[in-house]
Amino acid sequence: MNPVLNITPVKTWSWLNVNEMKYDGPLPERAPFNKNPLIEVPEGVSIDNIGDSSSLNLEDEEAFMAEYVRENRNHGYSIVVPENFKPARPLIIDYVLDADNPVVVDETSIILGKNSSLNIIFRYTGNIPEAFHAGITHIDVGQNANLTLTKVQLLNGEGNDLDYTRIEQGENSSTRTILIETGAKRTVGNWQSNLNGEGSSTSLKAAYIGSKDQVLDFNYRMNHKAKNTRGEILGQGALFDNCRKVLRDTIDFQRGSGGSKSGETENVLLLSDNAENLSVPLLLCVEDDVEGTHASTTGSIDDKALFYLMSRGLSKEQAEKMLIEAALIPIAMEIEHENTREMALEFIQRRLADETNY
Amino acid sequence: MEMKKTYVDAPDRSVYDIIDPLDVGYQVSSGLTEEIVREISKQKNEPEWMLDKRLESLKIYNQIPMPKWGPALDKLDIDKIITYIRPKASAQGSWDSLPENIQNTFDRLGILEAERVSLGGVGAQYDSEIVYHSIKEELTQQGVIYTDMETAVHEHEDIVRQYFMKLIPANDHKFMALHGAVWSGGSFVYVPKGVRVDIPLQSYFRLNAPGAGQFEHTLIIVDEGASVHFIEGCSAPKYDVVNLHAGGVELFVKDNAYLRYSTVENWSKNMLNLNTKRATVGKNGEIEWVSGTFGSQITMLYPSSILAGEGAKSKFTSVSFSGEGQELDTGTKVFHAASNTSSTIESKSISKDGGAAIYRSSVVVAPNAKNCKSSASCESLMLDDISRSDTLPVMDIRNSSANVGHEAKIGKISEQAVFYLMSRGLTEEKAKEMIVRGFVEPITKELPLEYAVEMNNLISIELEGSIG
Repeated sequence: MNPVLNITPVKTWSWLNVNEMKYDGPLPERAPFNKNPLIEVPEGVSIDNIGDSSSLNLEDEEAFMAEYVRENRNHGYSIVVPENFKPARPLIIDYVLDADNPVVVDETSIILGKNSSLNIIFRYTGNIPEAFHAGITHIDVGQNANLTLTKVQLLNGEGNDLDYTRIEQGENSSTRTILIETGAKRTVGNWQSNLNGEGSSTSLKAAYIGSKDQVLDFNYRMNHKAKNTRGEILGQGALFDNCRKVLRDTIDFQRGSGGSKSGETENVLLLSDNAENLSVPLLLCVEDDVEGTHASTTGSIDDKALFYLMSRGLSKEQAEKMLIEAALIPIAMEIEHENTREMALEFIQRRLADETNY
Repeated sequence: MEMKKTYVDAPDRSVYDIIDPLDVGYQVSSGLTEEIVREISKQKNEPEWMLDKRLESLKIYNQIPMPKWGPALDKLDIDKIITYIRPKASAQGSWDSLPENIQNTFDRLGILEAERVSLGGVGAQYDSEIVYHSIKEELTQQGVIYTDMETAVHEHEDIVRQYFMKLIPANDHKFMALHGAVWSGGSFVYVPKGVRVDIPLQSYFRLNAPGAGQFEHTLIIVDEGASVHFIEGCSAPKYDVVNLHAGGVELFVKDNAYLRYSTVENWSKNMLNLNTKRATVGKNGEIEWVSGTFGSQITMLYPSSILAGEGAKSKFTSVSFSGEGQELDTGTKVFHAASNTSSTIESKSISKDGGAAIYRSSVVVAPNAKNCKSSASCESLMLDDISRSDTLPVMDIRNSSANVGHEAKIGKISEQAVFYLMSRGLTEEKAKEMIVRGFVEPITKELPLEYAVEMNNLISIELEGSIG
């Protein structure tokens, strides 16, 4: 029986097939990973191998993922940023999977002390079909601390990726997450921010391209648990060929979240009649003094914009590629590290060149 | 200045809670067995094929598990539900021929007056059977058929057999299987080609007995180029035991035809309302759903539209008001199965005093359906911090030329809007009253005047200070 991942916070009709994702890919057991992925470690940040310690703590329904990572973990870090410390440079963890090290199952724990900040970037790349990543990142963001988290997964189109992020936010803390998890044949992305402290805020921007027979399955959630919290999710994607994409994004205004505001937006360019595009924007609320909005649009390339560009001398293929890039590139441009940004941009442009023949 | 929270009354139910003394003609024992199903069929003197359908439905009911999503239905014990109660009255064409208590019930509910003033035909169901049916003579002359389902099974057997439970089969879900086994009452409407029925037809369903179930079946066929507006109303008095409503509504809107199906539902708070409604729409045909849900303890109701013909359209407008002890799980499903089809959804909900209002929907565009458009808009108003409001839409889009948009909003009434109206001379209370009434206005404006008035009367507003 296939393990179940990405369980939707509130179930709906089962025939829609969005309540969960039944993962049917490989699950390597106890494979080694013998490379050092650290590229840049800013001074003042404490980083140790995670060793035997663990802060694995997923929700009951995600028990499979927690147990799998616990049993098969082969890498990970325990990172602490001291109070009041703001590193000048980002911390980059770069997992390059190759024939000798095709599998990484990582667990990383990050603690940001009060008034501190951190820009941390995870990169997962590898041009081999056996490439596999599964991982859980736990981040505790202290009072008034700021986190910028970027995850870029650009595995070969035969690889598999199961990535979970859990963020706990203290009072007046802020987090920004950029996710470009889009390379693997099966990409399972699960991100959650718990706004536990009054005045905390979070944002997530995610970009994806689905092509060939890829499966992209995302589950993003903002839990507003305290007063005056803020949240924003933006998902931008383009779908080609026979891919299947499910994006669940949830705003949950829980008891005690009065004065909070949150919004989620997803825009999908659907560029194939054989692709499956499912959007599940959920809005849950038990508080009256909140403002929540969600919006989801699906469409093809805007005819007027296409006509305009072609009237300026571009070919149809050029114009289409430009307009699709315009939807995705702004998110990649938010990455606060030049090399990583270039990597993401190059991937997007290359993938779009393949799909649009330009 | 200290702003106090606004108080919004729950809908006034007094006229609905009057219980008629029980004066039953016949009833089956409680529970669901093959024997009971056979007895219901025998009481109706049905053809063999209908009994076979009932028995097949019973078999399916026993095989399908309870749903794993949505409100908990553990209060439902089918062994305690009486699935068939026939009052001491058969279908009449005149109110005066009915027993006085039944006549008075429908008079209190405003049905007699409505018929006089604004309806082309009326069906009235009391417990499990239709007790009154009428249709204006000019409609009959045009070939319009509006009768109770039992009469239709006998007098229009061929057409009923062709359509009955074909759109919503018994294996669709557990409560449709239950419906198929024990259905009773309901209305049959046929509008011939090209006939435009300008005055609405209405059926009203009244459940009087405690611990009973109502399982009416409504079958409407609007033939090519025809049009009709059908209104459905329902209510029951409040008891301490559970009542169950598992009706079935099948609507066939043929090419270039139009059907508006309006419902104002005000079941009592011991009622489990598990109704199933579905329409199929032909080429350039149009279905409009207008739905007001105010009653029941638990409602699971998702009128669905299958846009089967090219150019077909669906419009869905609904309001729900969930108060203390209520969980109203409502929404819609739209299937764009053909090209150039379009759908709009507008849903409003209000929740207060611990009530839960859930909006649940699906919009599906099939791979072969080109150039489809769909837009959905949901707004939820929370009036306190002990209630709940969830919005659970799903879009499944599989054609690249589709243009689909969904937006939703939740919150309290904007203080800026209140300030604006006050700057125009209104008092704070009047400003808030205007905003709340305006919130439900998209629904009330779609109903005939008498029903819009009734819907507004269901919500009486007493405002003190700010809302929320």
